[in-house]
Order: sequence, then C-alpha cells, then structure tokens
Amino acid sequence: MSTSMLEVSSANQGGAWVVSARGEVDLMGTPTLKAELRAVQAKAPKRIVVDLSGVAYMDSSGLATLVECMQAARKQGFSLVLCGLQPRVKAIFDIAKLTLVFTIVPTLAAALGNDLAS
Amino acid sequence: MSQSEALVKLELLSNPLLNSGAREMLASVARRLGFGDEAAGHIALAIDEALCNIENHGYARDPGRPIWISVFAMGGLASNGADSSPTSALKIVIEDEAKQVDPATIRSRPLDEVRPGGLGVHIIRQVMDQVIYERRSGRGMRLTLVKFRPGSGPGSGAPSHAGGVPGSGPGSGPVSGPGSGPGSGPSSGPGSGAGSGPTIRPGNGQGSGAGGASQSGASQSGGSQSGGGQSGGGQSGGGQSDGGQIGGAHG
Repeated sequence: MSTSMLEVSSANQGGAWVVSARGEVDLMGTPTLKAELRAVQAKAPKRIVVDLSGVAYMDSSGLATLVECMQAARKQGFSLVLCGLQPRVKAIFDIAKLTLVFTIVPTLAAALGNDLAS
Repeated sequence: MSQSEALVKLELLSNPLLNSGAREMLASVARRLGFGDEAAGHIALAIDEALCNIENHGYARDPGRPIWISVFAMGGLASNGADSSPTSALKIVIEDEAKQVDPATIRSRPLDEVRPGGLGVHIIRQVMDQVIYERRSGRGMRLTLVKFRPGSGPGSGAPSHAGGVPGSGPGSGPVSGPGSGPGSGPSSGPGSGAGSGPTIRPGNGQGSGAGGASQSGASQSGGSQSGGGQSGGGQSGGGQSDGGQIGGAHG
C-alpha cells in the first residue's frame, strides 16, 4: 500500500481527458487532485475520466472534490467517469451513499469506451 | 493489564501531513487486536475524518496546534497470552483545545443534498458504533469513538456500516457491554483517577437514551463550561487531565 504523496497527471486520450491519481487522496493530497481537475475542466472537455486505480485511500475531502467536479460537469455539460476504484475506496463511496451519484466503471478501458450513456 | 490504561497515547500537531501516519498506526494496532481489515479500515477512516474536522474547523487550518489521541481496549488483549480474553472493543478518544461548539450542533448533513463538504461527521457515525462529542471542561472538544470488534458483543451480527443508527444496538451499547469479563468495566473511561471517567457513559444524564445519543451528539450541552477559569490543568498531560466535570454537570 502506497503512503507516499499524491501524484496526479492528466492526458488527452481519444477525446477524453484522463486524470490519473496515485497515492492517498486525503486532506493532504486532495488539493493536488483538485488543482488538476480544475485545470482540465478549463480545457472544455467532453469527458473527464478519473483513474483511481493507484489510489489506496480516500477520505471525505477527496469525495468532496469529486462531487465538486461532478457539479461542474452538470453545469458545463461534460461527462465525468470514475474508474479503477480499489475496495477500500469503493467502500467510502458506499458509506457516503455516493455510488449512484457517480458513473463508476471497473477499468480505464471501460471508461474510454463509447458504450457509456451520456 | 489494567483496563483503564491507554494502550496508545499520541500527541500530534494539527498538520494534515500527519493524518496518514496516525490513522495507519491505529488501524495497525486494531488489526493486532483481532479487528479485521474492514473494521480496521473503518477505524482509520473515522480517525482521519476526526482529524480533518479538527484541522479544518476547530483550528481553522492552523497546522501547529495540538491534538491528542488515546486508545483503550475493552475486554482483554487478544494476543496477550492465555489468561487474556479477546478485545471486545476499542475506544478512541480524540481531544483538542480548539474553540468549543455545542455538541448538539455537530451532526451530519442530510444525504440527499449532494454537495461538497459536510460528509465527515456522517462517515464517522456510519463506521463507528458510538460517537460522542463533548466539550472538555477547560477548553477544546473531546470526541470519543467506540468500535466493537465484529463478532464480539453488541453489534456483532451487524456490520456497523449497515446504515442503522450507530450505537443503538442492543442495550444501546453501554461501552462495557460486550460481555467483557469481570473487572473490565471500562465504561467509566480512561481512568486517570476519578477524573475523566464519565467520558463515555452512554445514557449520560438526560437526553442520551437509547437511539438519541448518537444523533444528538450525546447531548453534552455542557453547561459547565462557563467556568473558563479551569483551563490550567496542564493539557500537556495528554489531554485527559481535565476530566471529571462532564458527567457531574448534569443531574
């Protein structure tokens, strides 16, 4: 389990902006994720995919940042997809009852597919 | 092994940099005491959320203020040898000297509002079996968290995240409840003499009956805090030094 500082990168893949996080998305790491998401939102994306496969831990500060991004998605009209949730991360979405609020798919490949609604 | 002795006393600064170390350490202790990965993960999450709240709100993001965490085992220490009964629950006490708020106002927001923030308290209440906010007698707040070890005592059949009201289990969970052996009785909390006893007394005076306790923030509306003069007490002593007044303040 990684406990290093959160690293976040983004790249345009097939028309979607993929934001990949690695590390722990807690109060310490969340500002890094938030900054990257805002930078990508400013590029008028059609879809943002947040790849969490490298994230071993997330708390409510990370959830809040993703909720904020989802609100931007609704306002700006892009789609937001989360993928690669590890069990411990998936659990916090369940606890916060946010599982149904987000579009969550297993893998990055699935997130980049065209078979998603919206 | 005295039941009233803290297994761990941790003093840390209110710096988010330290949250990871604190939560992982305590989760690791929990695993050693027989808590499974899920329960240990819940403990880590609750501690993390509590620290976030203190750092963001209590101390208004000042990274240089103190936070004290004390951990107590109820029942025995599972791996402590043949004479020991298994640990039935962990009690975690998190204290600060931040501004005081009325515990009754600390509640989770309605979940149907999807918006950032306000989730921390909800998460804590979901994953822990008892959650009590109260004012310390001098300054600062105390949060007492109890997690029963799945498979022992109240709350055993039901995973604590199942959505029920935490702490409203059978018997509304007196902390010493889970049939822990004779002499355990830590319902009166982390010892330190007669002092900090009442910390975790569920059903503490009025209003905190069965289900009510966990929703209302334990109704420790703490009338006694006006006596601001008592802040002395040496909070350097790990934050427990101020105990004593809480329970007695209520008839």
